[in-house]
Amino acid sequence: MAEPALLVDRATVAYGGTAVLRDVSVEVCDGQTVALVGPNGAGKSTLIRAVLGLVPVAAGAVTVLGRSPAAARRDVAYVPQADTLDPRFPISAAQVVLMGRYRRAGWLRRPGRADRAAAAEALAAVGLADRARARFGTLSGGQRQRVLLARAIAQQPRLLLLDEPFNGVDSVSQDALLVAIGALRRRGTAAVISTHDLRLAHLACDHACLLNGRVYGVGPVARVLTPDLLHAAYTGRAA
Amino acid sequence: MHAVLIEPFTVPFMRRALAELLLLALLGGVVSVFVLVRRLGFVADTTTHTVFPGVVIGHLSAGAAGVLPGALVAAAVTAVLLTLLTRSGLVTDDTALAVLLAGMFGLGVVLVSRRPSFTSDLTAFLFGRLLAVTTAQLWQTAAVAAVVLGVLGLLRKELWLRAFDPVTSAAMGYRAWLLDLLLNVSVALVVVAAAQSVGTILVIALLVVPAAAGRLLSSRPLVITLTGVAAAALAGYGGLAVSYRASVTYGIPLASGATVVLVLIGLYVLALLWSSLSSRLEGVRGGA
Amino acid sequence: MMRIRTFAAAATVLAGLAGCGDTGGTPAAAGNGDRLAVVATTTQVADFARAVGGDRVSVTQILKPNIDPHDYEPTAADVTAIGNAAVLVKNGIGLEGWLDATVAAAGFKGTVADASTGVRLRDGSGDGEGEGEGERDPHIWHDPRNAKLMVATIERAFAAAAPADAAVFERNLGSYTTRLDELDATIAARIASLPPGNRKLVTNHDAFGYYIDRYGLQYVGAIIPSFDTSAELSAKDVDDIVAKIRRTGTTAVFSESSLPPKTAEAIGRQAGVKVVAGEDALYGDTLGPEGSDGDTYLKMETHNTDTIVRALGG
Repeated sequence: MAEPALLVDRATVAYGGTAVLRDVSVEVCDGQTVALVGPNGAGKSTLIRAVLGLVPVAAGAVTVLGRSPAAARRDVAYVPQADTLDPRFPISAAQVVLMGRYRRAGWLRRPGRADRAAAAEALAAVGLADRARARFGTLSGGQRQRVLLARAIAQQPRLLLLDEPFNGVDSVSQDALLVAIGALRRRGTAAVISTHDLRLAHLACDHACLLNGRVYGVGPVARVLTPDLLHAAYTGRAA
Repeated sequence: MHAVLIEPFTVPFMRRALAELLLLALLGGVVSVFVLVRRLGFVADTTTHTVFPGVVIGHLSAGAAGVLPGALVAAAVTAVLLTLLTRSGLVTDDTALAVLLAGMFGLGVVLVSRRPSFTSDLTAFLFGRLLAVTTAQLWQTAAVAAVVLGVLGLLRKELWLRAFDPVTSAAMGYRAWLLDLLLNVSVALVVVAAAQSVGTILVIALLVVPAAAGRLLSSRPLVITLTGVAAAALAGYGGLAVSYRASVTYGIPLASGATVVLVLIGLYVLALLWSSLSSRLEGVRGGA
Repeated sequence: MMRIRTFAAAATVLAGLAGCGDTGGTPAAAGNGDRLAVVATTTQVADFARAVGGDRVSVTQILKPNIDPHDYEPTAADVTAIGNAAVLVKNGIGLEGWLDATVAAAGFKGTVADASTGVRLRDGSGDGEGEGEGERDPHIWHDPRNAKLMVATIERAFAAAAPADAAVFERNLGSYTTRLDELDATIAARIASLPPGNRKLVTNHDAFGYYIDRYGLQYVGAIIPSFDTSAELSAKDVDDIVAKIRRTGTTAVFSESSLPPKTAEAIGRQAGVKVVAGEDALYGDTLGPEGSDGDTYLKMETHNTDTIVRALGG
């Protein structure tokens, strides 16, 4: 197999002396979708931030597409939770998606026609082409989440990181998200999706990583999300 | 009508004052949009206070000629300090800003009280001398406008992303501290440029009200910006015309800088009324 | 983007606006209904200007009575008047710090008459915290001998600007100077009537230095230890002056017409001495409003003297 899209090798991440993640190892190959499952405070967001290079790793290593996280940023796309963004911000859905093309356009240039085309295509991929001109904040929670996914799609990444994308999302939007994620998988994009919805983890992902400070299980979804392992992970937060 | 709207500007000092205000309208209108979306209102207000000790020290060192360099140094120091505070997460804490604001302003007052003989120059800096704007000052303001608008114009998409989604901005590799520093420096430069004409106390109006008014009327960034600039320009023109006419014809002294600010606030109130009226008329979804 | 182009266009328009004709005012030497257009800054020099010019001049006075001259923001009317004036009369010695920038902005093309020309200046009193070199007392008018020099300077400027009326100005100068001499003698006599130990003055700010020097009064201190009115008193300053009042046996504290009397009253109460405030206050920085007891220079100095003598003599 070619090098993995993401290789986390016994990584430990600490915030001010307290280890949030200890000795975490997980591997994601092209075309694989990994569900990151665990209770609140398990360190799912921290792991994602470590992959993005936003927090340093105290021990172990994080390798993204064969490079350091900072060096790989161009090919990594991040999808935050929609409700972390200000709904009153004066920006349209199309403008949000276009942001995914900024890195490609470069520092001093406006996004060009190719960029706009990619953005339009991405918005269509999540089923919101007709809401392009709407202000982002006037869309429903689920629609906003789809727009953020479209932004990531527009980036044409090799690795996609989604932070709790299904939280508070209506079923129509859930379906649209699943469809888009499936399309990305078929194109060979690797994805890590943090969620605590087990049903959606099964639907969206082929692999899973059960996390609560440390890894309780990693591998194909059915083998990891078993009642025993889930119980162990959700109750066993070591001091 | 002609007497109010045209005649005041047949006099050179009034034309210079108007030119300065139009430049500041352009500058303030654009910068205020970023102040709005980044919620930098209190940061901007802090800057208007922290330049004060710089002004005092500049004056102590070099008399009236030292005021502007002193202000610039203080403004630069402020921009750096604020950027550092943002990095450490403290700038969202109003307490940290208030401490900085009060501390530096208090320092300025202590320095002033040791040599009580130059209040005139200081009052000029606090309240501005709009009618004494020189051609040299106009060029200074134009230079500041060129630099600030140039930088903000070139970096507006990165600044916009940082404002909207700071985490994704960092994830994409944009250095937050650099973008913040550039914006803080821009705000500081506007404060210094505008202080000479409308004074540091009133410059906050130019940094906050234009975009606030524009936001009431639209949610599209370009329209917000243009509306803000237009409002500030209109306030400059109207405020000057009214204060001139009041002073020359009716002998009522109206401080020009303050009159401009009042007109600007008045335009904001109009925008507020319009916005609430149109949302009431539309019933369900008013003024996106 | 569009923004850069729009800005460039705007800048060009604005540069054009600013550059547009700097005609300023044409000095109306013989215009203005034939009267010389004069702008005077302070109430005192305006009074002098009117005394010297009579009906051959049209005097626009910038500072109104009871307005603090140290810190003033000129209005559009002021700037316009300066632009149109042929002669600008100022007190000088840094009293009008705001004047230079205003004169430049107005495009003034006439002559400036600095009324302080030739006057011997007092230095900083040394009573307050160290004033730097160059700190001169600008309140020169309170000594009538200085007033004589001031009106002479004004007359010279008027005569140069409107030679046709030089004779009139000279005549006016002569009669006014005589009245100044009479004033000087009167004041000297009245002060001399005070018992020698009872000539101690505590004023609101250090505005009366020249008066005190001329008439041999004893200066105990000022509430605001500065020539400028915006200085703040520290707690030590307050204690110092109260101690001084008690120690020297000063019997009265004098407030001023253009300054709030609160601090003077507080100090007077604390030291247990009489406070002269309100309508009876001294005219320090400005003449009084029209109809008051100090609406001309001569009346002002007379009023001040009467007030001082009454308070200290009684």
